[in-house]
Amino acid sequence: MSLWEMSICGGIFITVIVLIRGLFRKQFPGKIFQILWLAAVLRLLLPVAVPWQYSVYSMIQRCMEEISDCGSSENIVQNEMFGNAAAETEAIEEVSLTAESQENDAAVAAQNAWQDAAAFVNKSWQEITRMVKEQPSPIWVCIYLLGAVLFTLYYVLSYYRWHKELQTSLPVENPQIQAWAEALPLRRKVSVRQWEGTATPFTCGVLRPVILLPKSLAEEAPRQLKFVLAHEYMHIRRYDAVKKIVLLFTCCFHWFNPLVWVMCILANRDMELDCDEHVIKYLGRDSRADYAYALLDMEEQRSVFLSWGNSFSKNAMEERVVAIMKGNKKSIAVGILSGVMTVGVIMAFVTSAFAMDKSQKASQVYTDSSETYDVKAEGGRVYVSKGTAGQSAAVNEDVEEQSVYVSKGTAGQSAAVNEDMEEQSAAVEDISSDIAYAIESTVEQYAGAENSENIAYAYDEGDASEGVNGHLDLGLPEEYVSLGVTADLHTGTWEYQGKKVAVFYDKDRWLLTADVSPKDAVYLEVCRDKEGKIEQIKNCSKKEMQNILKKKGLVF
Amino acid sequence: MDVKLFDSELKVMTVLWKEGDATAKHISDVLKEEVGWNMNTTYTLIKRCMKKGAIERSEPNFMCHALISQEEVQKAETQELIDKVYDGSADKLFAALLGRKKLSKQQIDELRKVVGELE
Repeated sequence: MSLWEMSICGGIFITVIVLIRGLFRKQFPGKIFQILWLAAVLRLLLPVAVPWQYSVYSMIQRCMEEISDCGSSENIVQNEMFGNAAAETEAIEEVSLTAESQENDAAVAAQNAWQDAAAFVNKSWQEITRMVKEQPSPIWVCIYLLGAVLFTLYYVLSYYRWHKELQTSLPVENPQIQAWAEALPLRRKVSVRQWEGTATPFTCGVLRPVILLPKSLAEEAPRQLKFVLAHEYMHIRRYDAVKKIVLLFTCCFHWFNPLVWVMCILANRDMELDCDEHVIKYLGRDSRADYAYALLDMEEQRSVFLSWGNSFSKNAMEERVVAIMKGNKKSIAVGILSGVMTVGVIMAFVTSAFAMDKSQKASQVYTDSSETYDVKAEGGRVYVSKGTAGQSAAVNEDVEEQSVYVSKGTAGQSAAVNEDMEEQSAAVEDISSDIAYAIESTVEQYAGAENSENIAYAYDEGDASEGVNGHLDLGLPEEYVSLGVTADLHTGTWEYQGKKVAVFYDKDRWLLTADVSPKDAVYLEVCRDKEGKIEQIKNCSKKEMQNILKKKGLVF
Repeated sequence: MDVKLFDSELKVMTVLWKEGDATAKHISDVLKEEVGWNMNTTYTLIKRCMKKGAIERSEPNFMCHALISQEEVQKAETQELIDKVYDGSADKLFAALLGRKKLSKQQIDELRKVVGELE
């Protein structure tokens, strides 16, 4: 998973947690939120995708497939492959008018509207997926790295500065406090020191935790001391210092994602709330009010830092005080319920989309480092589609005819590969991986081509006969027709000067290989000038064509 | 003489007042024993005292001499320390981030009332 994907999935998960927090903060035990935040941090930091069939992302993917299915069910092959939306609508209308002319217009209109909507949703989804998967430009990578380094540097430096200042703290002389620290049931040695630089008590350090008390608190040991120490002890016991560091690190890592900062703020608040909950448990419920008052006393003694935005602080403080006073003992039922919900939410949102095939028939999934190819067999044909939206390619393989079509969707550019299996004497599975490879390289080339015409490849035996012009229905571009290339409606083969076309290769635009007897077959290469205008069509030998395709990294 | 010293700086001065002139090394040893400071911490504090004109250092061996007597010293107020020396260095961004900001007296009293009502 890329950082971008991690950040988006993490952001979605954070939003869900914020919603749960808003709804159930008072009902659920504090521990639940600690677990949820931990899961969010893991989702943000670990680049592993855990595919799961019932992940939310699988569900969305399935939904999208349903929608695209709906669009393609009306005799239209691979709806999403068409770059030209207008052509698509026309095709739909044409089919609808002929096939359902008996039905009333309203139904047709409704269906068209639905299919338009489906196509639109599907397209935007694919657009989003493509954007997510796209390689970011180096400028963005640089900006990201700069930001990440600056944030990290800022926190490391301020930590260093603080650490140096804290060194000047003095040991607490109050023997009561010393005795308390020594009696703590912890493996780590806790020291309590006093420091003039603070007006509120706090703890720092993980392996050798130090509780720092403001001077007044350490020397006068007022009634609040008991609560303050209990609070700090809970922080130490629960390794909250580690959690804070991890949260800050996550922020530096995902500094561009505002939701991650929201998480940092809320997770810190939840940490305090959870800590308070444990203090109450530790000291007994009777001391709730005293504890709340002690917190407010401490707040009063705090130094004046910045005066802006303190209503936010007040809300946080109020949240704490109310939680302390109102916090009821959680019943077992609530505990179980919240636990189940937590597990469910984590399972659904931390896992990622399960690369699955919608038809479930003879499906295979090829995964390349970054791209997924779905191979599916339907009605004697095999479709290979590339996982990324804008660059999706489909291989349509007719097992009987031993032919494979590869068509590509962006801006309507298409390519068809018709693979001869007898000649190659290779098993389907063996070729398949080659196909995947071939598609990848072809697609990469297409991605680079910008000025190409809109070419819709819409071949289907069903509606081909309905067209006025056979060439167009076969998706044979006008360009090629003007060169003298014709297409046979029934076999799907191309012809040139009375001979069948075995391989038709137009760099970055079109590749067709057909299963025809090598004796009277031609191998054609389209030569273009710099502006993309066709100069000539070259009739080459089989050997030459093999060399050309080999050089391009395409199988032949 | 109007020199304000903080507790940690006073610790350093106390050693000098008690033992007379001493090397930085010696002060550091004493304070390591007494309050657990490492050498760097003590040296930092000595430097701060020098800046404030409370200590004079001479070669060889970083000999330290107290320029002011115990009677002349005023204890600094905590509030000032935080505002000036540490420059509110409780890390402004971090403070803002975690909502660690001072509440007004009125706000705190309001919250006290909330506790009272819930009690």
